Parts: sequence; C-alpha cells; structure tokens
Amino acid sequence: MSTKDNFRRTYPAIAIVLLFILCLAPAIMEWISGADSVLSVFSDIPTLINLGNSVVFALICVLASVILGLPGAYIMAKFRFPLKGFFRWVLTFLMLVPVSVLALSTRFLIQKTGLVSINPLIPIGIVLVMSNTPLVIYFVGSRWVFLDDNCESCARSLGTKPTKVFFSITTPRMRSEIAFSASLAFIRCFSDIAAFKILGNGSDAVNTCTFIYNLWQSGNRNAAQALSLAPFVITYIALLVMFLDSWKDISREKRAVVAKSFMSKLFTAIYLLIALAIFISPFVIFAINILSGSTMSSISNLFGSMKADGTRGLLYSAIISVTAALICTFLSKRLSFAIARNGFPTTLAFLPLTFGAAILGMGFSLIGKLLPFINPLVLAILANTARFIPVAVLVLLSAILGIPEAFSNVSRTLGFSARYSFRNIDSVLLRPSFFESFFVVAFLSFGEFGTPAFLKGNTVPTQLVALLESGDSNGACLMAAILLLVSIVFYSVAYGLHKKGTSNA
Amino acid sequence: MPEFGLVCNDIRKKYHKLALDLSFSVNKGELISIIGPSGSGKSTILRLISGLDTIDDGSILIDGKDITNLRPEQRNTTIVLPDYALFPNMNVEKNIAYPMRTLHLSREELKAEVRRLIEQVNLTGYEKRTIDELTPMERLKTALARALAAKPSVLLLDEPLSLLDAEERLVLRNEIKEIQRNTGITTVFVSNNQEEALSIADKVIVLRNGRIEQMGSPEDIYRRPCSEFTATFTGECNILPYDVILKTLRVPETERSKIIYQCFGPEHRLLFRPEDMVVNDMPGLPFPEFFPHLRFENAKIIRCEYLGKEYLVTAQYDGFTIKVYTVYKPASDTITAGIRMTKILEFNDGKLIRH
Repeated sequence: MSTKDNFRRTYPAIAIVLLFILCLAPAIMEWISGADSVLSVFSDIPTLINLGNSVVFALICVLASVILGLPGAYIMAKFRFPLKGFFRWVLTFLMLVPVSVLALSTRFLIQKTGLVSINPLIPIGIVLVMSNTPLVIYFVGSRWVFLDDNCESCARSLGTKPTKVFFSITTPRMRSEIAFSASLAFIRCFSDIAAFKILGNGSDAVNTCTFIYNLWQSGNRNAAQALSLAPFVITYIALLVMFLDSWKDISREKRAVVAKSFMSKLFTAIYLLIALAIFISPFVIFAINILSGSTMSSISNLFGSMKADGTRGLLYSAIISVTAALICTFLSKRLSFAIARNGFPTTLAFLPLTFGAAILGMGFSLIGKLLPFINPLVLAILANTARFIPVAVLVLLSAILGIPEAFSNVSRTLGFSARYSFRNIDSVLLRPSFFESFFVVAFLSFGEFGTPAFLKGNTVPTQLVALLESGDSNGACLMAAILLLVSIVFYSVAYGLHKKGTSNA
Repeated sequence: MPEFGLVCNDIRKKYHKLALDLSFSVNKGELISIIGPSGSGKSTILRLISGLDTIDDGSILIDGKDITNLRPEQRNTTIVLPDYALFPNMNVEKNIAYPMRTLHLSREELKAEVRRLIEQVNLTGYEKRTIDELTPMERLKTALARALAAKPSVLLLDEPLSLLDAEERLVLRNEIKEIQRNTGITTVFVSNNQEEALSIADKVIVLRNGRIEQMGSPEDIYRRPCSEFTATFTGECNILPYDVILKTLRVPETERSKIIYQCFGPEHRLLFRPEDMVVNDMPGLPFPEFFPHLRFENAKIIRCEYLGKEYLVTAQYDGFTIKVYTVYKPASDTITAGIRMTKILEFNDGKLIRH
C-alpha cells in the first residue's frame, strides 16, 4: 500500500463509525440509566441462579447441536448423493428460519399429540437444537469440504483406527470451525426469546433474555437495563472464542465421493430423512391448521375486521426488513473490506452479536423516549440494522476473502486508482454476495422477534406471539405461515446468489 | 553513457525476517533477471518497484523520474503475477482492453489495438474465451498482452513461467524475450529457475537474504561467480579443499611447486564445474602428458544419474567427492577424469580470489 493511498482508510471509515454509533450509543445509554440498580441486581441470588441456569441450558443445547451437527457436516462435505443441492438448501434454510416459526409448529405438534404436560424445557431445547444443528453443519461442513484427506489417509495407513483418526487428526484440524459454530450457536441459544415466549409461556427460569424482557414489561426497567450487562459479558466471551483461531487458508476442494459401505449409506439416508422431516413438519402443521375452518375465519379477522393490524404488521415488517437490509449491506461491504484488506479486528465487526435483541431493543427504546420526534419505525430499522450487521458481514466476508488482492494490485499497476480498481473488479465479483447479504438480512429481519418486542413494534413475529398470548392460535398459525413463506422466497433468492458468489470467489 | 530505465538507490525494506537493502540499475530496454533462494526478497523487489509496497528508505527512478512516493497507478509499471490475476469477470479481449480505458480511444482504435496485442502474443481466436477456458500458457499470454496494453515504462514479471510445464516454459521464455526485444520495454524478470533466468536475461542479479550477492552478465554469473553461494546456486559444481592439489596435480616437478606455492593458499578452496572436467572414456589409454592438470584416476563411482543427453557421475577419489558429466555410461565401477588449471576458480572464505 502506498503511503499516499487513502482509499483503504477512507472507504470503510463511515461503516466503522456507524457501527459503533449504532451499537454503543443505545448500550451505553441503557447501562448508564440502569447503573443505580447494578449492585442490587447482581447481588440478587435468584437472578444469579437464573444466569447460571441460562448458561447451562444454552451449553447443553450447543453440545447437542455440535454432536448432531458433526455427522451432518461430514455427510454434506464428503458424500455425493442425489438431491444434495436441495438438502444443502434445506439445512441452511433451517439454520436461518425464524425460531418463532419452529417453536410454533412444535407447540402445535405437542398439542396434536397430547403431550401438553411435558416439561417446557424439552420442546424449547429441541427447537433450539433444530435451529442450531444446521448452523454447525453449515460452518463445519463448508470447511470440511476443502480439507484434503491426505493426513487422514496417512494416519490410517500407519495403522490408526478410523475413530482415533477422527478425534486425533480431523477434529483438531476442524477446531476453529467447531469453536466458531459452537460459539455462534451459544450466542443464539442464550439470546433467544421467541422460543421461550411461545413454548415456555414466557417462563424465564432458564433464559436471562426472557427474564430481562419480563422485567422490562413489568415496569422494572432499571433492573432490566442493569441486568443486560450480564448477557453482554457472557456473549462477548463466546464471541472471543468464535475468533480464537483465525480463519485459515483453504486448500483445493476434494471431490465428494459416493458413500461406500451399506452402513454409511443407511446413516446418510436416515440423517437426510430426519432433516427433511424437520423441514416439512412446519408446512404440514400450518397447512392442517390453516385448512381448518376456524383458521379461514381468522384470515378475515387478520386482514379485515381487526382494524387492519395484520396488514399493518406485514407492511411494517417489510419496511423494517428491506431498509435494514439495505443499510446493513451498505455497511457490511465496507466492514468486510476493512477486515479482509486492512486487518480491522473481526471481533469488533461482530460486536453487535454480543448486544443481542434485548440490549439493542431496550437501548433504542430509551433513545425513542429521549428523542420523541424520531419515528418508532426508524428506531426499529436502526435496531434491526445494528442487530444484523454481523450476518451481512459474515456473508460478504467469505466472498471478499475468496477474491485475491492481486486483482486490485494488478489493476493499480495498469494505471487505475485503488477506488476504481475496487469498484470495477472486486465489486463486480462481489455483486452476487452483495445481493445475497441483502436478502439474508431482509428475511432474518422480517422474522426478528426480539428487538420489535422491546420496541413494541407491530411486526409479523410480535403479532404472532401476541395472537398466541390472546388465545388466537389460528391467527398465530397464519402469521407463522406468512413468515415461513416470505422466508422461503427471500432465502431461495439468497441461496441462488450465494452459489453465483461462491463461483466468483 | 547508457540511459537508465530503472534505478533503485539504496532501497531498504524491513520485514519480519527479511531486511532488504540493495541498489541496482537497469539500462533502458534491458531485461534483467533476479534469482535467489526462497525468501531472499525477489518478489518483494517487484512489489516495491510497482508501489504495491512502500520502501522504508531509498529511492526508485524510472526513466530518470523519481517515483518513490507515487501511487502504483502513477508509476507506469505493470506487473504480471505468478497466478496472472486475470479478471474472471472479463473475457480475454476485455482483460486486454482493460488498461486502455484511460487512453480514451475510439471503439475502432481500441479494437485495432487489442487485435494487435492478441496477434503479438499469438492468441488469435481466443478473444471471446473466458478465463476458465484457458490453459496456463494462454493465461500467461493474456496477462502479458494486458500488461503491454498499458504501455509501461517498466514491465515486472514475477515468476511468470512457474505454472507451465517444461516444454511450455521453453517456448514462452523465447516469446517473452522476443516481445521484450521488439517493444524495448525495460523488464525485470524474477525466476526460481536459474537456467531460465540465465538464458533470457541481459543482466542477472543473484539475491541472498535481501542483499545483492552478485550482479552481472549471465556468463559472468555462471563462469566467474564471486562467491561459493553464487556458484552453487547457479549450477552443479565441485568444491574441494586445497589438499586436492597435492594429491591430484600431474605436472612436471619444476612446475608443480610453482603452481602449488604461488597460486594457492592452504586455507583456500577450489571450485570447478562438472561440465569442464574431461573424462577418459578409454581406460588403459592415459591422458596426454600436458592435459589435464588435476587428475582423479580410477575414482570410485558412488552414483550415476541418467539425465537424458548425458550421465551425472558422482565419484570418490582419495576422500574427495567429485561430480562429472559423461556422454557414455561408465563401463566399470571407476572413472578417470581431470580438470585443467584454467578452469579452476579459487575461493577464500567463500569469496572468489582468482579465476
């Protein structure tokens, strides 16, 4: 980099500044106003027990997700089988589908099967594992596919058993990806509210974020704000673990092979069938509910007699998600550039992960009180933007890391400025990933429950829970179905773009 | 006085393990090769000249103009990287036309210029091909044409032949040399292949740990290496201690003491190339009395490698290991070879003191 080259410094600057404003401003405001209650909250034994329980429950869910996810990652990375592309689509979709949708379908399933007396932690755990196992498959599998088998083959030829090879050779090589996906899963499990609201009837026994939400709703806002420090610290530790190992260079992709033994074929088939069943079950359950006469009437309720709340929720969700996605994509391109080309710390770009829905929701709510002239919709957009910047960065970063810096370098020696080179070479190659990040953020934002719940926003997921709490389960079912369909459309576009982006990289 | 195309004045650059510190100049229109072991700073020099990295100290001049503080796009140097870095979102034609965007040419002029470059690198018929459809050789040609399209003052080639097979390397190095001669562009060619570097260059720089070990014509580098490092790095050679003189010198007694005591010091080491040795292929018939001076008679063969056009024989004689080329495979397990005094280089403490 030339000493007079300012492009690298100036291009990501605006994104870095906005990232800190969006994340730190609400959090700091929140902690300052909750400072009085810090001592009382953290000396409260039940609160500390709740915190401990939340960590343990999240860890159990993560452990289960990793155990179930590793074989899936292996299957997706190493085996070739019919409809592999479709199954990859299914698994990634399950990773990103709103937890509220999975939770609601599980709730209906429990009702239908008559298991209503079951401990609510079991279905909550199942939903969280269902949502996070595909995450492990995705991140570990995407690394595994590039890992050549030479070391494993060599160890086998030296007389080591396959199991030992797996634990002593393969697992250490996958360590960074396992740590990454497990930490991300932990953050998701620990910060989740939707599953607890839908399946646990708002129980906060093992979920700090729901506990904070309940404190907030009950008017004990100072305590909620003070307690929000705890999830920040805990998830920040998880974030540090996520990036403990830097992302290593990947070698050439090994070709996937057809599973050889009968047992591996059987195992692959069973695993994929379970994945398919999990994917299909919400559709079936919602379809059964919607096709019943009572739900048909709730359609007219939602879109007609309920003073157009349903359509307003849809409209709000759409505005929030599209605008947040646009801003996220704009910022994430610059942040990814800063990480990939300037060595900007990855953990800082992923900082919003540690704030989560609770902190951002409460923080922007406080800003709304202080600055009442700001439209609540704007606050919701900003909160969702801050919340999903890391997702957009994650999508774009892998693409930008795959594009050699040599392209820009050569273009510069051919007489073009750094800015021109980036816009005409790197940006063109990044375009599919750019749109992919837009669609992924749009659909995640469309299905986001946490921040609008704190902001009292009128969006599809908040309505879903509100309808459920008011006893209109058919209406909730309809909202969940809408959420599911919108997610599928958005994700399908994003997935197509992902393939194009990957081939460019 | 020759006009300099490129001058590097006391350029210094410090990396974690490498401290680059060197000065050199290249005449306008000359092709200079840089060779050296991995990590010696060959590619770094190109990055510094092109401005992709900044120097800590010193200055770089191109055609007499100080470009040290200019950005890469202002230096009028183009670089061809080892993997060619062809833009995957453009086909061959568009890759080559890319540098001409700044020239504000009309459509027809642009097409004509692209066609001329494509013909210059023998890529006619490949205009519309995507990068994925090209072989490494075609990619290199595209990268060369793209680099030439920018009409650079200095062309930097960073191991351009490393992805090609042996036959392609031979063809392309001749093509590169021909293009360079025709265009007259000052060129810096970094290579990991010594033979390639010597064959293509007007001048060669041997680099060692970020410093210039030797700079000179290819013949000087090979025939008169200034150090044992250059000698061993540029090709096979025999390095033997002073004792070998006492044991193998076959000259009349009157000349013997003169050669031994006037020419060599006991701490010196002798160096000679295997191809300069003369092999006695007909055992029983002695060497002529006057030739060669040092004789390794009936040296025991310890290894015989077939290289295609000849054999490389490694043999031991009285505790000394020698390497010698021979056209015919040795018939027995011994070989007799010798070397003339004029072919022997004398080194003291790794540095050449007599040739």
